[in-house]
Amino acid sequence: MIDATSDSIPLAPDGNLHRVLLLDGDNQWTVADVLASARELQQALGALPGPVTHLINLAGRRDQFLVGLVAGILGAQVSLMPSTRSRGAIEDLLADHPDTVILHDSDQSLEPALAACGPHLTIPPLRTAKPPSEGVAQVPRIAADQLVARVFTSGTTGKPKGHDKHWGRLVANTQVAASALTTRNRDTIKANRGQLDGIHLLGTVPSQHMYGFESLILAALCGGATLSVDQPFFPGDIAASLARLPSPRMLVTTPYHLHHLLASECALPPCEYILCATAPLDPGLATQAEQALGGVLQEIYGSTETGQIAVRQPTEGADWQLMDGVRLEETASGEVIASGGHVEHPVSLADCIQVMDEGRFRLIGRLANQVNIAGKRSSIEYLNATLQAIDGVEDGVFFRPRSTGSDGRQPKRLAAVVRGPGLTADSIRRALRERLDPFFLPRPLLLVEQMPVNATGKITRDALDSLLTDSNDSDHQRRDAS
Amino acid sequence: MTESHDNTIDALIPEVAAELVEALNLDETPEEIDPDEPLFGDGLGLDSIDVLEIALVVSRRYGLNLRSDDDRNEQIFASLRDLCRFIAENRTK
Repeated sequence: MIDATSDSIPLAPDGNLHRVLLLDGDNQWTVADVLASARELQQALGALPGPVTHLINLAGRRDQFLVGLVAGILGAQVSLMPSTRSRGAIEDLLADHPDTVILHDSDQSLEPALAACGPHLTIPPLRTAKPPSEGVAQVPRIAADQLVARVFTSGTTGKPKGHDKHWGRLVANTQVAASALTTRNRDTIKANRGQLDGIHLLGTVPSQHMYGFESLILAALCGGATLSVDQPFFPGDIAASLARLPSPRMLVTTPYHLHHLLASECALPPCEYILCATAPLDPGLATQAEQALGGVLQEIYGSTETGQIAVRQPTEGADWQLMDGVRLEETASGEVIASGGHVEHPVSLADCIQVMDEGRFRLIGRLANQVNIAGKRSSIEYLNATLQAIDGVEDGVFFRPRSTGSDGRQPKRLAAVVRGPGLTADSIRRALRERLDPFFLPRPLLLVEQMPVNATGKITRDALDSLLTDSNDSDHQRRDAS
Repeated sequence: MTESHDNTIDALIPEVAAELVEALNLDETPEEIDPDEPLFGDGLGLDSIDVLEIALVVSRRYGLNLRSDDDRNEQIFASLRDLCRFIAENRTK
């Protein structure tokens, strides 16, 4: 394993220019191809008027995202990774980071509202470097302390919070994660030095999400795996994309996508490894997935702040095992702090955790203010601050309704209660959509003349829930009457 | 389009509307959904989570598997009436 504390680490740590990084059916691209395309993009960035210090890489295609990332690393430009591509979020990033260029797949893929935000550039589609190395004689070395990415979470104050990711830590993160995944399956994964050599990855998560960034993009660049360019959406797409990949395969997905994949009952090709993260997987679903895909399912525990820090195989047991070098400590006030190893600095975790011996822990639940919709995290404070900042909104809160969906599993939306004389639910939704990921748009959104407060002037959960129930009842009455 | 074809679509609209309201936990009642209103954006305001839910409903109830590489997707999800037309023409159960 590479010593991540050394001064510099090759961009592709095995140093092999000819390793295949990306696959699209019969087309394949090597480390040298990606380097040649990244240099081409770097030249285009250099030709822009004025300095470029940051990039916002919005590429949807895996190959183009990777080229954009590598170009940034070569040019010492920091890749900014917003938690949503809503116009407001991008504008905020640009305001805080002057000299930023937006990178995207093609002019058609960039929403006009985003194109209007600032300078933008198309990432060239990958082409095969000819002759094979096209002047790329060796894999460049990157300083371990180079700032590569700043990944944003919604924070708690109404302003997204950036988390800096340095090259050495990212490489270490990828390698300890690969090692943790392969150690548990020493018999089944033909691992070379604890890396994912020879494994073909297919992901349903975006490259810009921390999990997708680590388990797809970095797992290919630094972990030895080969990545499919596909990002399948519908269950039928996932099955078709898997079938296009050589074995052994690893599906990198979320409980949300896995639930839909299994519920669709579409015929699935075998998949040796299934990786799941963003929310704890229901153990029954894990068993079902292993049976349907004929593989081993492992879950990753991590966060944007810490990176990936633990792994478990839910069909073998509920406890998590920390990755090499990472420690958990419980403070007097009950907070659990992760530190050590590739974790950039001590982080207070957003979950209720029972710390056990030998690097194990048990996940009890989320902290009360945290929400997770279809694998995307936010906090109630952030959502409330965004809602209350809308012109005309005098008061308003988001909350998790107690009632569950019919199958109990569908991603449950948040509800919101708003006092905003003169505003309509539609106009509030439109304003929220400017700033929030659509997953966090409230459903329902109730307009009230008075916020439901108790005798001490506090808004209580019970009061919010009964408002919702009353509104449902009146819906039913309307339905019955019609 | 034949008249009986249009009748089939009209008959599906309330059924599919009720499925959407139930599966997506919409604020609207099934009758309140305008069959010609856009499902996304400023219309009903659906998003990509909803598309997966709709795909699940459509595959379970009507035996239809949606795919991203289908060029018709934009048309299929344009409105409730378009979705019903697609179901009427392609359902296997």
